[in-house]
Amino acid sequence: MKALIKKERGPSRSQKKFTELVGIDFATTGTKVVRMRNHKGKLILAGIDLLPAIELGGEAVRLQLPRNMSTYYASLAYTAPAAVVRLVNAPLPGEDEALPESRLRELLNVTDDFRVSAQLIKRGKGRQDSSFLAAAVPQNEVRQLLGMFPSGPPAPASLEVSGLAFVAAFLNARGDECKDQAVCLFEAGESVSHFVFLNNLSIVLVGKLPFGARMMRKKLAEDLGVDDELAASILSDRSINISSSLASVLAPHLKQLTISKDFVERLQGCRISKVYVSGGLCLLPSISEEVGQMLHAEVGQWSPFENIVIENEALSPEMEKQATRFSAAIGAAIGGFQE
Amino acid sequence: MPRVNLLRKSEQRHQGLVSRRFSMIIAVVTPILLIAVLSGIKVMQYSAVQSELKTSQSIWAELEPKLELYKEENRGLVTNRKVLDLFGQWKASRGAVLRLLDEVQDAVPANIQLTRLSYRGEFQSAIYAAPEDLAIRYAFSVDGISQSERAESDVIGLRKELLGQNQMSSMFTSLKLASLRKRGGGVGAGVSEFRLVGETDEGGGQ
Repeated sequence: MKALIKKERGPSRSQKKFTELVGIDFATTGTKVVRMRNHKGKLILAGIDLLPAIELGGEAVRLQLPRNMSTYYASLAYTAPAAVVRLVNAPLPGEDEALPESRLRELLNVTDDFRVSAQLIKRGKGRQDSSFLAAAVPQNEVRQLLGMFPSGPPAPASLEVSGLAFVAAFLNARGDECKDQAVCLFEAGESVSHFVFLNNLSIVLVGKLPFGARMMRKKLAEDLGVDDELAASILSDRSINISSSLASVLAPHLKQLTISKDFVERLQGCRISKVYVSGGLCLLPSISEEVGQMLHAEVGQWSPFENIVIENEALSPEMEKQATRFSAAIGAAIGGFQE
Repeated sequence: MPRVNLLRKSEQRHQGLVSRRFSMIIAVVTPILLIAVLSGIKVMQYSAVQSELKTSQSIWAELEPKLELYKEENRGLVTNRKVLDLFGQWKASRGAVLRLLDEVQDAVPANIQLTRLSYRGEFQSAIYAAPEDLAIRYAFSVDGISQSERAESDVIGLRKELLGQNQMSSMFTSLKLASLRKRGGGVGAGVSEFRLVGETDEGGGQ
């Protein structure tokens, strides 16, 4: 009988419509887990948990989820420092929906040890190039992640880059508000940050910035001559004026973001009305304001739990305060329902 | 919503309470098992019915000769009853001849003299299958002479008198004056010869 119950592998499983999923975001500071249900189009948060971080590059160890967080399928997202995310343009012949992997690797400028995938954003008319949202991640990291789910529930249903997965959560939370606007989404984490420009809810530019809370702590520790723990404490309570240190870290990266903003505005003939920030870095006081000042744009806060029904006692007050850290996990689950 | 899924289809696997193969095997095996179980039940029922049939057949084999004997005896009884009915009918259909003759004798006046009287009974059928077949049909005739001034009237009066008698009226449905004529010659003045015929309708009489 055990042999009969053995799990199967097959090519046609991706078309399955899920009603319940666990969204898992393997981030630098922790593993964020949300269990969600889709009841006739209504999203329900049934459980949420924060597990210890998984170190990438190590041995694949089976992930033990709490019993109340387990479902048959999981939508995975992870923060990949080596990942490449880009909006690429290329001619797409005939009725094709995808580019060959070799062409994608060429466009993303990655080698064969990267796994690549892309999604058609806009098909070009005539001789115009088509636009693709593309991502590349190291193969060994994918193998490690899949190795955490060798058999039994949950079975991986999808794998995304966290810096893109959070967009689904934003569209669910604020899609209606931004449907006629051009906005910038800024997801800032521990080690990397991502930005996504949306015009009328269509992705027009994505990018990754190699900075996060870790870099700010390091800079602060250097400037103040304190250890990393104390620097983290100063960052969170702002007992000392650290504006100059923060500005020196933020400025070069936000300058790149400003350039991207100007580029989008010129290319799309629009004006970026608002910058929506999310991610663990935004939990630090006044970071959002400083980002707004540097970008000369209004900054908006949002929560991935908006437009989601939360089951009784599924969300503790402590978790609710850290809602923004779960954007990618929620986004991965929502994406899984909508696939 | 654009979504870059880095998972390959070959890396996706089915996960549920049981595997798809198991579900498929269950879907195939369950009807077969169900059919087998139902067939088994039917076979058992058939065996039980067969056993019951054998028992019934042995009981029947024992009872059948007795039943045949009973039927035979019953048939004899029916025949006997029919014969008795025939006898009863025959007995009932016999006319009371003596009483009839007494009635004739009482009805004849002094001026009428009977020269001939015939009384005859015959069965309507030669085969007596039913009591009705034993009904006897009677024929009655009487010849005579009437001698008086009112000889013809006396004959007619005799007919009426006879028809008024109980036995005569019960045995015959009609009493016709078949002939009435004066006797010729001087010697026969005031003398008339007559014939009365009594008949029973078809199926009539007792």
